[in-house]
Amino acid sequence: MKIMKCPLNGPRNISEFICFGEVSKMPCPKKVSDDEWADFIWMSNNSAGVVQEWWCHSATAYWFIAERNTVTDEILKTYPASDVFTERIDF
Amino acid sequence: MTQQADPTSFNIRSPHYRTLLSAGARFGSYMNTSCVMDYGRSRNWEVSQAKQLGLVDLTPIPRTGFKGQGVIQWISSQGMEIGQHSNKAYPQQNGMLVGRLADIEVIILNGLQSRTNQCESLDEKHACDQPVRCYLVPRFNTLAWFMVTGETSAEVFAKICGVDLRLKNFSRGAIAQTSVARINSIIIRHDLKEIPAFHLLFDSASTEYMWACLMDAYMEFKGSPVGYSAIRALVM
Amino acid sequence: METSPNRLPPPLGMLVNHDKPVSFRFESSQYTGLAGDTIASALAANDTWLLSRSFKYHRPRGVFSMAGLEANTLVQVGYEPNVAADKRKITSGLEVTGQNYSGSLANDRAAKIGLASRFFPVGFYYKTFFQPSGAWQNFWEPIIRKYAGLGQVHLDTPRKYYDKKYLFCDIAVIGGGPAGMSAALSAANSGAEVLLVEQEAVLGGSLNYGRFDTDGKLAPDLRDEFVATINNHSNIGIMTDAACNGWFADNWLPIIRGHRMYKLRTKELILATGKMEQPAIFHNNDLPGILLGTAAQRLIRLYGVRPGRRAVILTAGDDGYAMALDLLENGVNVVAVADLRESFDATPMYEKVRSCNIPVHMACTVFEALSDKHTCHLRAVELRKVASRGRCGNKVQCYDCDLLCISTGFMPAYQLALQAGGRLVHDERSSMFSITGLPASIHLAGAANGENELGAEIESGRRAGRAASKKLGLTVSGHALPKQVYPASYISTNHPWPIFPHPRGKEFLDLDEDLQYLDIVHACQDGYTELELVKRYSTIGMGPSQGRHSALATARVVASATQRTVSEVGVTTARPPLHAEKLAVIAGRSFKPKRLTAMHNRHLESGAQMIIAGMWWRPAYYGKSQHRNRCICEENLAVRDNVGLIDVSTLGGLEVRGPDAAEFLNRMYTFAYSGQKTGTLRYLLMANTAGTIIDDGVACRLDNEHFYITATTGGVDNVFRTMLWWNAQWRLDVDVTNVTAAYAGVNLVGPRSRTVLQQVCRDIDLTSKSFPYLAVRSATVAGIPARLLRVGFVGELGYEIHVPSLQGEALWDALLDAGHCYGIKPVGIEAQRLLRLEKGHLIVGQDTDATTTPQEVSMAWAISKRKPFFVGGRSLQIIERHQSSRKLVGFTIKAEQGDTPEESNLILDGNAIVGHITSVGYSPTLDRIVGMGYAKADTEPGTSIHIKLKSGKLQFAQVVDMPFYDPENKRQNM
Repeated sequence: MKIMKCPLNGPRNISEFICFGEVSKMPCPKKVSDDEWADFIWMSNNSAGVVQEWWCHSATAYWFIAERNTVTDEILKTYPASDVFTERIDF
Repeated sequence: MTQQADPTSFNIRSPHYRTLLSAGARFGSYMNTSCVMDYGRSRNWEVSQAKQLGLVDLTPIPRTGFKGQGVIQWISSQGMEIGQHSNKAYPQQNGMLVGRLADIEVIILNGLQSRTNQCESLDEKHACDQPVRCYLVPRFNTLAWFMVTGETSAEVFAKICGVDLRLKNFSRGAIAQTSVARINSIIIRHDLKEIPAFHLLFDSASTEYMWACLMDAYMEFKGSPVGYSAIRALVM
Repeated sequence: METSPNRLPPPLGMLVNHDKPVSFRFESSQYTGLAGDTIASALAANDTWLLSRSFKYHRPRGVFSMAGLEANTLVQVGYEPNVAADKRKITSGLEVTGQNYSGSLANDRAAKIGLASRFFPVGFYYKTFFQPSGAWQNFWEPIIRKYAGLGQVHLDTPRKYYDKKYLFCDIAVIGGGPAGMSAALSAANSGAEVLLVEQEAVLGGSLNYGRFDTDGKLAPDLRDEFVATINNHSNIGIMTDAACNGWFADNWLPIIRGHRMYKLRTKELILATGKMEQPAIFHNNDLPGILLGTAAQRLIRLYGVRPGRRAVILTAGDDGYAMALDLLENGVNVVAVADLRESFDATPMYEKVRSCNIPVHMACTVFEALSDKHTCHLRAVELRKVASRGRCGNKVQCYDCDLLCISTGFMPAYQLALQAGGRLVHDERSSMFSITGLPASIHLAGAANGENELGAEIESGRRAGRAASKKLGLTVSGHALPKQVYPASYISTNHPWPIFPHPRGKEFLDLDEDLQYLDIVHACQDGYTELELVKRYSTIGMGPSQGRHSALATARVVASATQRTVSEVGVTTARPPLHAEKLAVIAGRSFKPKRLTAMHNRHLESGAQMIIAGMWWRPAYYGKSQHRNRCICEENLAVRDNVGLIDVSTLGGLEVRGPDAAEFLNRMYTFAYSGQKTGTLRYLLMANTAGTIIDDGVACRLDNEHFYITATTGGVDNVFRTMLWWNAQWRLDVDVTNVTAAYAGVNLVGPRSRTVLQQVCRDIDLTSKSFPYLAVRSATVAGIPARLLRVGFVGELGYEIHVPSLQGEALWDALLDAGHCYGIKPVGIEAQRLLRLEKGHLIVGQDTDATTTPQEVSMAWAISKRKPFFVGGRSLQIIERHQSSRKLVGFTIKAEQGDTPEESNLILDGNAIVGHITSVGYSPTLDRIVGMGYAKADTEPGTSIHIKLKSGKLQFAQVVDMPFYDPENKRQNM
């Protein structure tokens, strides 16, 4: 079983985590066309290579971001979500 | 020290008090509830069992928690000393143990030798102060509280928990928030003087299940439930 | 004490206790072995060699590797099928039988099938049995199952306790042979915490049974020195009888010992797994009495068993000559050595054999082996000259013998290394193997890395230990290694082509699957030239030995047939498990969490039938299961006419606090919460980004900045996690805490609920005027602090009472007490489901599925149009512009009108499926069957729908307006 380093809890068996897919930017719901919105909802990139992914340490419900190579399954680094989402978002 | 008490004569009850009774538990009244004081065996027997491998139900002992950006500031203003590392427990002068679960969250355990409800006082102070961004977490009811004591306690955990809790790797005061027997749990190393011991706090609805899992894991090491009196004797 | 004919005296037999006889039964005869014997060694000591019948042709088989590596020794031990007789220790009274034969093991009627082997060409399953249609299931499969059976599975097998345990170390060394011991010592001297894992009962590996010098002293001396040093080393943990059965990511290793799987996590891993001796391929190379050389050595030194009386040795290097000396010293008459090589430089080992006047035939092979008709055992071998690669020339001589030892080559035990990403490389000139491409945290030592000389093995262990320590930032100090100077011990050789096809075939490449030389050649001719395809087509390497004895020969034959090198052909993908693994070991003691509400034992005491919902145990109804329907009816009527008490503790509970609490709920749920007044509660409907309903509940506004919200039992964990995920992006000033376990809850419900509650709750005014429907209050109930919610899930006057969970049982007791004189009844979730169905309330997950939108369930009213954003809002805008094809409708059927439909029964429009029933039941209040289901979107009340029952019959149902009961909602407002 793989080990993943949780920014809060340190290295743990990957069975303690839940993967929530790639980090993607939600288009502005007011400006985006129906087609673009549907694309955002239903089409994931499924890129081969290093991607940013959402992961959650389930015992602490702690969300963070991991950079993982989807080809080699190597986890390159992990960091708190606040490193990426730095400001309050309003609509 | 206390008269034997019937757990059902109190509103607050350990969820698995029937199982404890059938294991021979003798309850004593404790604050506004009842707690297993011993299992009808001699104090010496229980103390030496606790040194080897004991399981103590501390569910009736007070605990609380706070969460939010303002937590550390408010807790500090209450005279508590808390370090900056998460997943670390900080013992207080008054016997309480403050576990820092994250930057903005703490769990607080009543002093094991204390005869007053320090946590309730803190909760009342909190209600009165209404500190900004510091929210109460009702840990007394969300989490059941067991203590795993004795020389082989780390070995027992290896049967139900994937984190390396061996004594030299998981030092005093270390906290692991992880899965124990598939239940989300908080493990805090808190030795009773020189006896290795771990607090195990977990989903209170799983109390009966966790007790059974531990008793099963204990068999291999000849572990046994012991009462609160035994661990009091060990910290005195 | 009666001695066994083949038993050798001490000190031979390091694993057995010569003073402790043990009796057991094999094939209904009584045998006596020694404590420490395996089934096979004890039988061999008593000159019993035939252990099993082969999988396909029912050929007699016996000991081959003495290491549990192949199917030859599989026996049935009591309830346990497929036990390796050369691994399992005997115990007193053990009952052992052979497998896969008709009649007796020695006289198997099914062995005739071997005569027909030419009618079973390679791939015959695919070529033969597919026609005519149905022939496989009805005719061939039952026959093949009968003849190609392994052991017997007994359904009444007693349950045994298996479990798992985590294990951690700095450096794990797999394999306790010379290289492994050397690696462990060197690593431990750096201060690292080392775990040495050995599958045999004792450390030593080949030092325990092999011979490395002419006088046979080196191995035992070296072993004793190593073992003593290791035993005294405080940094080395030793696990013997422990099999590392696989490699998983980040050095996660299942180590199986007895009934336990250890899940070992190591920082650095040293693989000192040794080598596997390989068979030679010739006619009848599978007869009992034909052993790998190491198997004979294991019998002698580990078990003190003489492997035969008259032996011939087939070799291609010093291994065979060492073997000859071992046999000679232990009373075996070695009648000849056949050496495949043309010529070689004489070695001390060879010289010593020659000095014993044993005939050595150079450039010779075994052309065929002959068996005794009655015992099935080897009786003679015919030696022939090797004319050219794989071809025999003239007959040299036929030797009578009962033992043939084969020592013609080795292959590294490569499986773990290859699972970890390594690649096997074959040197075409030396025919030796090496492994490359391993991850940086894995180190190879000894024969596993192709080392073929004892001194080099030990040295490579030392290097590996040092390299692993260095990776951990440690340096090796001290010189605890044995100071042995290694005399030029011999070098193992690997003959490039010990394969000799025979006109009558039966030269087995794979003993498990009975595959012969031509089968593989034909597979290549049939077009399957890639090894993975050859394997699947022919089934080679798919048996219990997983190619341990067939991979090399197969690679050679395929390479030759396709004009490639052995490296180019390679071996098939190595996957865990390494050895057969019991499902019980994988399952362990299986943890099944069980969440109980505070009132759980009260339910049991009241005779409740419990059902499991997720991890929660909940009362379905109270009473005996044969009275199920009556109980549910009575509970239903108690709520409608009087008062009932429902345990709702499993409901999810979340505290949402902070300046942005209302804004946060606005974003998470479809409805609007900013304007919600303190002290009231409001319905919550949650959609996902696609606009699909995923949860519901109520929001209680306890304060301007504090909501207490409920979520569904099964949904709350996901709701909680999803909320935190969104706010990790939005960064609103709000805190969400999951307090599900903190609260026990009951629904005190029914027209008399207020009266009952008034008995135990006196600090607030309960009248509808000051505590109306959809209000929330804090109060004290029977001395317990409580949150009271007036909600209407079941459509009667009622109070949800949420209290600290440790006081839940006391609350339950107090309410039943207070309601006693009013005839209060505990009510289970079956009745609750029926009650809410009568009210037309849906249950998310039961009446909705993965695509249900609010529109389809007529809940457009719960969607706020004035909010700038909420999750799913943008998708719902799009969905609203498209007419859905279905909607959830209510229907009724008169009670006497035929069969009651069940949930999931289809709703048809002509022959087309338009939906299914999501909830249905008999309503005692309305005396008819009521239900909900998906029908065409234009279905109107007053029309009828067609339901296809489980029986296949069609049932008509009347579509009606919902709710079925109390459409004016008067009763919940009382």
